[in-house]
Amino acid sequence: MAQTLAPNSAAAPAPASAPGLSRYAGLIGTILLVAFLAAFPHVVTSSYYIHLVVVIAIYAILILGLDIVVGYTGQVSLGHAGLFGVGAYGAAVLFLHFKLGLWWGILAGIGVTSAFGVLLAVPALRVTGPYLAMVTLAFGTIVQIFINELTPLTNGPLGITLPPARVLDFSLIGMQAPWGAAGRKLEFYYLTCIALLGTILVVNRVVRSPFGRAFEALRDSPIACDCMGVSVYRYKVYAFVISAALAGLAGALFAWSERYVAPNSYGFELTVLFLLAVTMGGRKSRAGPIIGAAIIVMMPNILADIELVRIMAGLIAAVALVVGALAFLRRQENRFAILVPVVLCLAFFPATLALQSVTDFRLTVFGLMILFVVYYLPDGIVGFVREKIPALRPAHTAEGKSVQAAGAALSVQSGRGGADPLLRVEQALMQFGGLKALAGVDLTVRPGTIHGLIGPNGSGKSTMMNVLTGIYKPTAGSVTLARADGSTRLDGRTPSEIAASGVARTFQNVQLFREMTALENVLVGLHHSFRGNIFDAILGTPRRKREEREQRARAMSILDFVGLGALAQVEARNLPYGKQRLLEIGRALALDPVLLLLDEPAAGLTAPDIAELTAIIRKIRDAGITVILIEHHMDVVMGLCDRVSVLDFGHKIAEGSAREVQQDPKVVEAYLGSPVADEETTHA
Amino acid sequence: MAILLQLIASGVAVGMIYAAIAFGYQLTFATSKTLNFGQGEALALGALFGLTLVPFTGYWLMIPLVLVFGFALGAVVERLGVRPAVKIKSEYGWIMATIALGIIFKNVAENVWGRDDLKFPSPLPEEAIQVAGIRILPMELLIVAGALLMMLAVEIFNRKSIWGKAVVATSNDIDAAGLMGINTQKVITLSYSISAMTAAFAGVLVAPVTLTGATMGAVLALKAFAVAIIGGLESGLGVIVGGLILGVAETLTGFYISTGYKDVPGLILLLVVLSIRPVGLFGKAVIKKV
Repeated sequence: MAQTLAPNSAAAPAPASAPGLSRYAGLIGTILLVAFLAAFPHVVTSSYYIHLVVVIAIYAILILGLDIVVGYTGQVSLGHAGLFGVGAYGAAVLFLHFKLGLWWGILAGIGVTSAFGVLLAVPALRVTGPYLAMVTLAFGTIVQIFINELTPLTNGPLGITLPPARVLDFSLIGMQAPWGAAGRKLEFYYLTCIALLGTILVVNRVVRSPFGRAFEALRDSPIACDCMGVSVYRYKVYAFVISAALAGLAGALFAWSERYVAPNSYGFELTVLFLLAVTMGGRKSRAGPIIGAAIIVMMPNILADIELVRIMAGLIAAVALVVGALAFLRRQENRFAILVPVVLCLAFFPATLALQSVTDFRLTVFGLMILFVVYYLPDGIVGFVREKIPALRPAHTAEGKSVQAAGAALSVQSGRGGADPLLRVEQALMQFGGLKALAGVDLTVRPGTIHGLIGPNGSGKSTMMNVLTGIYKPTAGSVTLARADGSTRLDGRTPSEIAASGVARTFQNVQLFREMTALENVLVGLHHSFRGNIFDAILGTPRRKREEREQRARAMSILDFVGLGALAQVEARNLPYGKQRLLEIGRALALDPVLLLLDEPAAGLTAPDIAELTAIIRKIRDAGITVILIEHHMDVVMGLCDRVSVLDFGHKIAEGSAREVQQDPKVVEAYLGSPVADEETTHA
Repeated sequence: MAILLQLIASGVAVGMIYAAIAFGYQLTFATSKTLNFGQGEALALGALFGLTLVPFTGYWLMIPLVLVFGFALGAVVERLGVRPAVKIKSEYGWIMATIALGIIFKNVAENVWGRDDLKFPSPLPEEAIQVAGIRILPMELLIVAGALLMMLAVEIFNRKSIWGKAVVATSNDIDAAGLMGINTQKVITLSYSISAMTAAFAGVLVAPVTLTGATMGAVLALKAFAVAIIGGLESGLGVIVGGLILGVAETLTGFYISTGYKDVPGLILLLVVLSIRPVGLFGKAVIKKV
């Protein structure tokens, strides 16, 4: 997957200056939303519809949180209905036992659910994909069982009834509410609206902060994420906790809005609805979850009205007919692929005519919607609209401005040319079952040099790379890195710790963060230089803004250094292959490494690309960064390396200058085979 | 002591049902690295379909018909839910699609057979027989024998028949199998068919001792996943051990703590095993390649 070439999409790099509308799309959307929410109860006075908007807002809060887990970190959680239930019960139980009201409930809901988020993150750290889906599903089921069974605490299957919520208590200060009895009824409505807007703000800030970038990075390539010093472990916990806290907030609000909680309201179906909402609305956006929430809340109401269903089915059938007919008339290539959904949409109309009520088939409709979304609308409604209207695509740069390069691309490392080795590997042994991929290899790398590591396929070069960066823990032996403040043992450390101590790497099969722009990829590498914590991110403090500005400028200068300045806003997956390799080097340089490991950087490159690459590697060495280079292109190795080590079957068979190694008979034998040995086998 | 033995004996029967469903998970995971999140619904549909047939055919003749039904159902799930998602390499896609199909099946079943649980007529006498002081239902013996027989039959199929060998080859290395001229797409469909067939069969086995209804499979399938994890999704007969452990743990919990918490040990076990040893007790750790 990582090596997919995408020449078509790469042909149109996004212009550096974002178009005007996209810069303001978010602002316009927010103003429209605020205006709608403020005016709604005055235009539509029916309490039924006001309550409907409250429920939509509450669901939207939860789904915005779910989007952090599903959209940004790319994990499937089937446990969010459980978290929602924990939040609701947190608030309700507090009232049942201590008569504490809404505000305490909200605090408890957020607090308790965040703790559960940590709990849920523990297995999530170890597993992904279907495993995680099952784990979270099990979590949701356990929550439901405990709510049912812990009767003394939760009142069991009977549920808990709550009185009307008191949002603001004017009697405390001996006053009447200034907005009268009618206004008081809307207090809860406005509270929910404020909670929704607050959630949008928080989520917006978090996903645009280093935290959000870490979430996306661990989704696209967990290994590269760790090797950039961004601990996959820690950021998964952050993502789950933030997501869970929002689910708790939504749950507490829900308990007080419905004024009744019961165990069965928080089951599997609700979880699936939440996932449907986030996918259908559109992942990685703010508008998507709100649209999704509106759909799943209003759908049962629409389905209850058979006339309305028939009209809608008729409209859908008409649209499907037009789309299908056009596809066939224009002989579009996908005309057979869309035949199935078109026929299904057409068949849906007579089905609604035949049925007296579709309420019983509510879940079937939801199931069909999931299938439709998964296969024909994978980026959701928002994704679809963005694709059709480029002006609405998110501007990736902060405040929509193009970034000026500033500051030195590389921080110059001292101690160049010193006699003491920078890296010392002693008797490294790496054993996989019976296979010794490294059988006791010694390696010393002097600072400020380019050290080549060559050998035939399967000789242990990449294993050495993985041992050095902590992806493999060596079976025996030691790896020591000399630093200004004394030497550090690297073996036994995690990849992110090793990265933090100044060892950066690239990968043999490109491991970029594919859905992030080139600039964002480098910013993940710069993660170590952000000092702000999660509260800086949520509150948008001046420190956070200043840091972001500085680091973006720094990232830009790094991109200029590797010659990608003009492609800063292009998503990594859309870059040509050669540029992807350069971007990986740029991202590694962002770590400010003392030692840079390049794993076959020239593999698959064209001759001009290779020339560019060698020039860049030389510049890196000249900045004082030590380089270990694994490469099969011998001209690159011979032209660049100050010293070369040769591995074969896990043993180091030669070491010396490029020239010496080239003439070593053992090396020739390893690559080409020995004529004597061949003769012996033929005679045997 | 007699009580303990009694509880263990009852746990074995339910454990074998888990093992049979978990075995079905392993089959599809081996060939395609995917599994059917609607496996519980396949089980419930099998049982309900069987219930409709029983008055016409009797219990024994109904079984082959249910097997055919399960086989077809599995193919449908693979075609609609898994194949398109695997084609676009979307993990989220097949998880959501199989869940969606499961919901649809359940909803349709509710509309066809009603929302109330139904009684499945038992083919064997319902009085318990005494063996060394332990009361065992004849149906429980049938469950154990049936589940073991089913797994044995699939194992023999895999080892002896040419299609079974294609399944094994695909499980080992799907690309190499494809290059050797095996239609891996068909093999994956076949594995889904066999998997759903196992689930449907488990449904008619378990239905006489539980109640039959559209929702009967959901929790069974989730706990069977716990069993598949304990046994290792990749390792053959670990599921039997896993199933027995879980089945016994549940009857013990139900007796000594409360029947309400009967489902908890399985789920906790799932969380704990995945938190500590994600490859399962019997699975082998995979070396990640970079």
